Amino acid sequence: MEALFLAPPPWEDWSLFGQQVVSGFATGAMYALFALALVLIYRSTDIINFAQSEVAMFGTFAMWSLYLAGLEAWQLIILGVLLGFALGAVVERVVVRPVEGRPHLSIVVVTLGLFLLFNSVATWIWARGELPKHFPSPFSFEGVNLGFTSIPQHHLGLLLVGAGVMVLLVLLFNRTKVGLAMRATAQNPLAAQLMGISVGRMLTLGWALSAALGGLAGVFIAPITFLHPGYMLPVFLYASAAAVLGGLTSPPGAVVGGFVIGIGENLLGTYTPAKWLGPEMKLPLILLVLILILLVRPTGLFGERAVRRV
Amino acid sequence: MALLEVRHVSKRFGGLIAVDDVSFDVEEGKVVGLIGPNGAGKTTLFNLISRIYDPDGGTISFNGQDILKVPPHRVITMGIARTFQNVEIFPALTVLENVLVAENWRLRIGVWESMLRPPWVAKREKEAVRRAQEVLDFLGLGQLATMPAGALSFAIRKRLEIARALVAQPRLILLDEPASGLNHEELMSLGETIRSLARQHNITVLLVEHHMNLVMGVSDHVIVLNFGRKIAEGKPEEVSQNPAVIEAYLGERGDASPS
Repeated sequence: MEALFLAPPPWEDWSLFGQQVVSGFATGAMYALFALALVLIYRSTDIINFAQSEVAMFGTFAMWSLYLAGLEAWQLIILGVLLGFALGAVVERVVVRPVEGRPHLSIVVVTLGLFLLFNSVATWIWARGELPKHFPSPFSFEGVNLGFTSIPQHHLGLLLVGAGVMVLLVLLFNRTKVGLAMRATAQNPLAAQLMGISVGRMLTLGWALSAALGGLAGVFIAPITFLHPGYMLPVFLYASAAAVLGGLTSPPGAVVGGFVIGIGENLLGTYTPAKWLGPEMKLPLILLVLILILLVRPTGLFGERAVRRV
Repeated sequence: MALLEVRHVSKRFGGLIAVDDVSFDVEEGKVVGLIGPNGAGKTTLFNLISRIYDPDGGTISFNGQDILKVPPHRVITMGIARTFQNVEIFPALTVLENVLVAENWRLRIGVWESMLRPPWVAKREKEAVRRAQEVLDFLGLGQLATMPAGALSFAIRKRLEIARALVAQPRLILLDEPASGLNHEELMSLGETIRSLARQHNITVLLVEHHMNLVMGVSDHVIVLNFGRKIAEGKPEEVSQNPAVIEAYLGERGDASPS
């Protein structure tokens, strides 16, 4: 009988299974970080920002130029976050502000336009010569031994930074006055304004924070996937699946969703029969699983059920 | 000088003149009722005073300052807070968080300060929570502090909105139909609350209300609008005898008839 599996089933080789789960965790951390960025925008404006991946890609290419100019990898991370923050704020002020208050579709179309704009400009400036380009990491790619398997230092760094960012965000939203103002604005801009909150400033802050997170994800992902104008697009697709799975409004949900998708992607890639489904089918399969989960739980795993009076 | 001075204010929506050359004063420490049949322009006037709309003409000054010169989110810093006919709360925030939003502008605590929480910030935040809790207790909402606001009944949400406005420590509060949907007992306690705001807390009240017994019972002064124009003002007993007022109400036998 022909072998049905690419790899021996888990019960025959647990170390392979463990290895796949651990590396799934590492990929999941990328998705989680980027899904957090999507959730931030969704919470403050109720839309999915389709330009998210390209703003991050653009910022990372700018960091690559600074890398050529001689900056250190850890400096690039800090500057990448700051540049992301600034780009997010500028994009909101200049491009999104004029369509604010219009139907969601108008804003979505604007973000699609931004996607094309950032993609084209980045291709025009940076996509000469050899692609993809190498991007440095402050960590090495040597494995850290976990006993049954090992994980590259860079991925471990990504996991730790992701966890730190997650804690900071929860503190920001739940413990600070600004976080309360942002949540209030997202729920009822009219009332927030009358309570003395500058709604415009909160929206700018939301976009800036989100793009800063995107920038962080960008500089952490580029050393793994290498840098080219389309390198963030698959991350965007997986991360939006993760965000939807987590409920779109919940930061912890986005993180859990990121890990579920990352691990699921790895396991499906390892254990699905090659004859039926090659690795090319990983993404559609993940999306199929996502649809099935949403059929059972329409608000995602951690989504806030909208409380509305009738 | 009156606390609030509205002078020759007009507002048009397309061909409709919602507010037509309206002028009146609101004296400090008084309860002023603003009545009139549906569509008379009462809520539009509230929206003009709270800067949701810009008037097409006229001036509005508060405490001698021109409020049309400040952006909408600064109106509260001048001392004006309001509630809405259809209740505008933050449904996913708790009751306590809803009222804490109103402390925001007064606390002036930065992002880093509130994340790192040095002792002086923690102290001010604690005081803010204590003040908010006091107001919730005053309105009988103390027990509900940790409930999500969206889960409350309409009547309780209306009270929460008043609590939120009071936490902002306004000099003038605009109440838009606070009595709608309340039962008899809730009405009585609302009347007492409004009176005690003016008498004990020196908060001036401008009240839009269809419930005539309540308006006539609590107001020191009543202003009557019809089709966007002011048709009468004076003491409650004078206004209710005024022929123009009686005609405006008899002309429209709907839910607006004196009840």
